[in-house]
Amino acid sequence: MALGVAILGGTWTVAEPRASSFTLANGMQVVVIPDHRVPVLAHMLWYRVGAADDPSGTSGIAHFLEHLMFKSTSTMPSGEYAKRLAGLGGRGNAQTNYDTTVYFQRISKDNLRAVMELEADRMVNLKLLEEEVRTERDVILEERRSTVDANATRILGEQMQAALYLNHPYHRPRLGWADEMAKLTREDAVTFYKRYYVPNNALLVVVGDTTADSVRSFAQATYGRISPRDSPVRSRAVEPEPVAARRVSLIRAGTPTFLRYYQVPSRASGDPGIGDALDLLAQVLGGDETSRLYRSLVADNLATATNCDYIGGDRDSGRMVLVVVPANKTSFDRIEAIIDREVGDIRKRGISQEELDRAKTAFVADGTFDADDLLSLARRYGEGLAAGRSIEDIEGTPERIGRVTVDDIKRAADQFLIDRASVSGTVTSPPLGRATANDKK
Amino acid sequence: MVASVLRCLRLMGALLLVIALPGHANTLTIEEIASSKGIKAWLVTERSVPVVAIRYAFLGGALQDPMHKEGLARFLAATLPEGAGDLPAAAFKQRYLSLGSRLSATSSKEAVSGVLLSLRDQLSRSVGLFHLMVTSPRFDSDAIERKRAELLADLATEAHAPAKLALNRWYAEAFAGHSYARPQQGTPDSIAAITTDDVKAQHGRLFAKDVLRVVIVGDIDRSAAAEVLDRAFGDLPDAAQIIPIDKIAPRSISAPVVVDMDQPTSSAVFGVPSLSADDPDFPALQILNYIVGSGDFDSRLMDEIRIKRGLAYAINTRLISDSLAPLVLGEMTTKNENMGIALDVVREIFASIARDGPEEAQFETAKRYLTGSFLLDFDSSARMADSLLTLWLRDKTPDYLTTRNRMIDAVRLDDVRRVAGNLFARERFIVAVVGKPKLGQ
Repeated sequence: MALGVAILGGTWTVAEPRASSFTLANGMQVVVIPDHRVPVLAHMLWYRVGAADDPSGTSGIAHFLEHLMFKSTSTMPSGEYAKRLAGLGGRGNAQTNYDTTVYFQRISKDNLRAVMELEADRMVNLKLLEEEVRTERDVILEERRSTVDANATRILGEQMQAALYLNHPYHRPRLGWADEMAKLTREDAVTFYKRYYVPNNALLVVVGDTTADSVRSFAQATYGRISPRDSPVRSRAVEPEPVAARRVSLIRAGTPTFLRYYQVPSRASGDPGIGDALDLLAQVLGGDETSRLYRSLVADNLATATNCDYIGGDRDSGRMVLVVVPANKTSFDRIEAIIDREVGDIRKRGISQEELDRAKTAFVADGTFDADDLLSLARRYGEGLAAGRSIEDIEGTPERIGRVTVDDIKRAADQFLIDRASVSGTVTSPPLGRATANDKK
Repeated sequence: MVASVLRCLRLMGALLLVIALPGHANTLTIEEIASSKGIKAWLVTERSVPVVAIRYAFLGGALQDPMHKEGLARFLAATLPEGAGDLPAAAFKQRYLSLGSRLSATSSKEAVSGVLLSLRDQLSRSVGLFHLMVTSPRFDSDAIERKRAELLADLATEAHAPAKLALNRWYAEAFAGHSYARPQQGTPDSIAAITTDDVKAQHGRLFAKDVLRVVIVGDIDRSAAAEVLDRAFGDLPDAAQIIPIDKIAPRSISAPVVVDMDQPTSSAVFGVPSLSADDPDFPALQILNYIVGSGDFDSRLMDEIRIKRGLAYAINTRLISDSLAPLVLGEMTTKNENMGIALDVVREIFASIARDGPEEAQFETAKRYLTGSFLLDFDSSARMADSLLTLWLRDKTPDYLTTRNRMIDAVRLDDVRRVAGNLFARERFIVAVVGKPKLGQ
């Protein structure tokens, strides 16, 4: 199907896939997006549980369980899942987000049912042996050490996230805090697994060379045989109205970096249209090399890199994230003054029609290039639906983007890019370059 | 039948290869086309997404950097989209970003390559700008200085990235005295020494028709594609000025080379010389590499290092198929006190496979995976363009797509054992470690 989007006076035809959706008798929702270019499929199973659901004191358990899902089940020894998937010519992985945990595979169309059997098996049959739990706990600690602890910008990001949310569980790192991760037990994993890994808490997205009918019959024969259990209820701490701008300063060997976070609504939590305006606002502010931040910082040789992203996919709240890597001699004060000037300018005077048009073009083009990739497309639907949006809302994005006005952008900036909802943070290297590399044979 | 199709179309100046995917109605049609100005390309017409991807590579790359100007190819690639023809950087970017197009250029040891991604309806205007970029980049001094600052900032960041440092050190040690030993990203001194004239001269030497390889995938037919080729590349000189470089084998170094860096984890790069992509034993090597370290969760390294011992989060090997110095390279990160043990395990795995070969079951899984997953490299336009260019850069022809799985299937267990015995001899194993590793002996 095609959708016309009017931009720059002309109209582009954007191939916009249309999803169909149904629910199995056990309450599991299934979404199918056909794409017949190559006889290949993306199979993506979403559980509506993530790091923000880690019970207090056991941060990291959602992510730990994601790892443990690759261990033995009552029908398969440890390692068998990987061997079977490989034997099917499939590739897969998993990911833990704040609100969701996702297991995904790319496979040839002939193997859809076989992959569903594998995925359905570990939805109910996971053994969680003491020995597996003990070894895998070392792996998640190693993951934290090698991906976060070794990267100053990642550490700063964690600290800023913690400062941005005073009470809401989004303040926790998705991997967990190391001290709590080290104490996670088999019982923590079993409790979490039994409570959340139920078909009525899952959402399946299949994109590729198939039809809704064949997905339905395979899903019924595999996932459909699993009995529903009580649907887990999410009760989350509520974030108070922000009242004070926060600052985080990290002294650590690494790239000197300035970050600014604003707490803003997510696509799911905000009023209709807010997410679209924030998407375009991020694009105008720092989305590419025609953006405000690039022109006032990189083009003027004050910084070597700038970026602005709207992180709007979560359920309860979103973030506007600004990143600046200062050039050698530029002070953080100067960087911050320029950011404040640009943000203030948009809040007060808004943006030009030309800037808006360019942002819309970039947004629609990104969406089109993105839809080329089966997993990206599956992720677009899965993330949106898991956060509580509807298929119509997700598919209506290009049309709504087309209707956003310069006034909408100005209003969104004025309402949400406010100091008291912000955290500013810096990475500064320690004096004397302590951690430089010295050769030694 | 395919053969007669090939013959017939060669007479028309184009070579058409229709690849029937096993058991499916879908076919993948790769045409070898040549434009009137003699530009050759591989073309896949794919109508269902209104996007055209043009992937290109100029052979040469960082190996052609003059002495003391290491990083020149990277500098050239970085500065290429910074203005062309009459359009300085800001105006040039504004033009192509307003079209929703994406332009990028990057460099490797053996090529400067990149991609133009364009919406179908903006292709003509996108190609106009792309042509300017390829044939008359400006290299204005402000753009050069901006990119110099960016490249120096990247080097400063890499100085804190142990895995990156370990890789550089591995190459420096293994290929001491040869062009391969030189850091393709440059050094602070070499980047500082590069002048505008150097960048211009290198563009003049490397960007020519005889070293160009282009793959076009998307909503475009043969005659339109030929026109695009002439418009984009037709004005380039016929011949590049490439300095021939000898093949080289890594030297033997028995003890791990350690670069001291004060942090809790160490990163190791390990590897051995390998076979070139045209070697008759290459399919056996692909199977061997899968078994040792490239299978996601199904490799021997993953099993022994992560799953059984919890020593590292990630460990893998990959085949580097550079034409002059093919390698099997692996990497892992673990806490300092475990590095010695982990390296012992890695060495023992290589040694035991060299001695005994792989197990029959692993061998069969590897074959099923490699043949079954091959299509996954072609499941989106962007990925297809990447995969086809990669094959061409390894001097494959499009019919490789029909013969590749047959070659994998024809490999016998003894072939893999023989290749492992030849390649994985203990004395050829080179290790570079960055961190404060505790090593045995």
